[in-house]
Amino acid sequence: MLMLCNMSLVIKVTNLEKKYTKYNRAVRQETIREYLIKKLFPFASRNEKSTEEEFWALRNVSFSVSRGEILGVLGNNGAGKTTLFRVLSRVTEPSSGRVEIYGRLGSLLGAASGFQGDLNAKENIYLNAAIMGMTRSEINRSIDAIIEFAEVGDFLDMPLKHYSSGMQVRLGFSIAAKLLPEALILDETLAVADIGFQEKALEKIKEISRANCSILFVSHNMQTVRSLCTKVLVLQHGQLVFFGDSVEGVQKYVDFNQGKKEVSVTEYS
Amino acid sequence: MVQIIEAGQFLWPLTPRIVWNSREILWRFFLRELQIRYRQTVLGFVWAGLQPALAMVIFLVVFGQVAHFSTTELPYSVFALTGLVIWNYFSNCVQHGSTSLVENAELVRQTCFPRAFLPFAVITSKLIDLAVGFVVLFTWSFFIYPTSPKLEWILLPFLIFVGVIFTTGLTLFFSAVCVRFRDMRHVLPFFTQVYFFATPIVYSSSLIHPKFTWTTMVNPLAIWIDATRYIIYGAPVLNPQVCLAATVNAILIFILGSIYFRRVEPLCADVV
Repeated sequence: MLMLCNMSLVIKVTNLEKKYTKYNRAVRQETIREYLIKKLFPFASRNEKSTEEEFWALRNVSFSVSRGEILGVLGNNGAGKTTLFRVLSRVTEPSSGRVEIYGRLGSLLGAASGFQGDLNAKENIYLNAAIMGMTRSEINRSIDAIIEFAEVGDFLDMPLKHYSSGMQVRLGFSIAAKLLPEALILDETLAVADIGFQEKALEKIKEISRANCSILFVSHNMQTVRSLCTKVLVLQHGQLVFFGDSVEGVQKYVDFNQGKKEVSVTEYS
Repeated sequence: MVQIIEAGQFLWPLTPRIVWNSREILWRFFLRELQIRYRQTVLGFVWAGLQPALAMVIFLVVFGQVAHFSTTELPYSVFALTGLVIWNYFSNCVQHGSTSLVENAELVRQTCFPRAFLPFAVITSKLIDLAVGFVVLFTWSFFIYPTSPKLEWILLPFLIFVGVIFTTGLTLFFSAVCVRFRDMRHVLPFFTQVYFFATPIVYSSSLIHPKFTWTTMVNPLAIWIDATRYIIYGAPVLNPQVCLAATVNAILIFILGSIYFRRVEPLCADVV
């Protein structure tokens, strides 16, 4: 029984936390002067440390994702959605807690998601697919399908800096979808693409989830989340406030926002 | 296969197996460096040879003609070009490699790969430029100061290897400092300028006041350049102890640079 549970598990997150200190976030860069003062006069900087505000982007988050599940991650701006995805994608280190990932994980964290403006589409596909973990023979086999799905066939030799953001997203999504990982992370990227491609992409998401790939994605379109996701996770100030059925979760998120603000979230969607 | 992510553990461990598995990433970064560098330029790869050659002409006029530097029996142009070809490689690596993490901030913030691959790609791709530089050097010296290939020439790859180790160590260190302190980008040009004049590149190490000969002893670049001149043209004469010391220094700097880089690496995505 337990074995069976573990077999179907793709991502297991336990007590995940991510802390930023204020200088990390707001000022971002410590200057050499500040650094030296801190190192040379530890007594003087002790006071400073107490004023140095801590900011918890993720606080005690635990959940798990099984094979083929589509998990919608909901939360207002700054709730910790992107931080969660960054930790899962190994871009940044967690402050504490543990993540277990069974299999390959592909992720698309931004609209341009690491594309190089000076390279053309083909060169970018090779670079990006390699970073996502494809081998060269895999890329060679799937490059035509990627180009076809992204519908960028006419612009293959154009440097990517001349692409529109929608075109870049189409390319990024096509690579990620072709990767066929055990888990795929999509961070709000599809919002930039046009309606036609969005529909096509949602169909693709359903298709790859049927092929036993789990998908974690952020969307502010409640309609999409309700119809597509099998489960929903709601984040609020870095804390997990709901994890479960998608219809219930969307309702909870909408209620929360209506109670707090005048503008309802459904109006946006 | 289960991957575990926990605090305090390396996000991008560089075990031989992982490097081998992600060789395609390194290869693509390497290609990208070459693809971008001379794209939209008219002369393309000619620049790789033209840079040290033009610098050589400048120093030939200033030091060879105006200041009349004596450089043992080797013609000044050949002497300077040898130094400048190697210097060009070194300074390009340090300058571009050190800023590679900061310049690829988008990539660092949004994708997962061993961060050291970015400086590695710069260092390895500049080797192509170094090779072009050596072709220019051999062509020039063929007309000015012909030498016939000797058995010692098989030591040249070893010299380059040690030089690359040294360059990598320094570049890793500086690229980590650049992530931590943006000030470093303004310091780098001065550093390279001081380093240029502190190293016997356009002047002979025999001109250095005895009080300061230790500076070349602790500077692997100086030994790299002098040893290359010695192996190809037989001058100036070097003693083996100095070469050994330079090799040890290079390895030491590589180890220290890597350690510091590993310490700063986890911060990259948050700070860059």
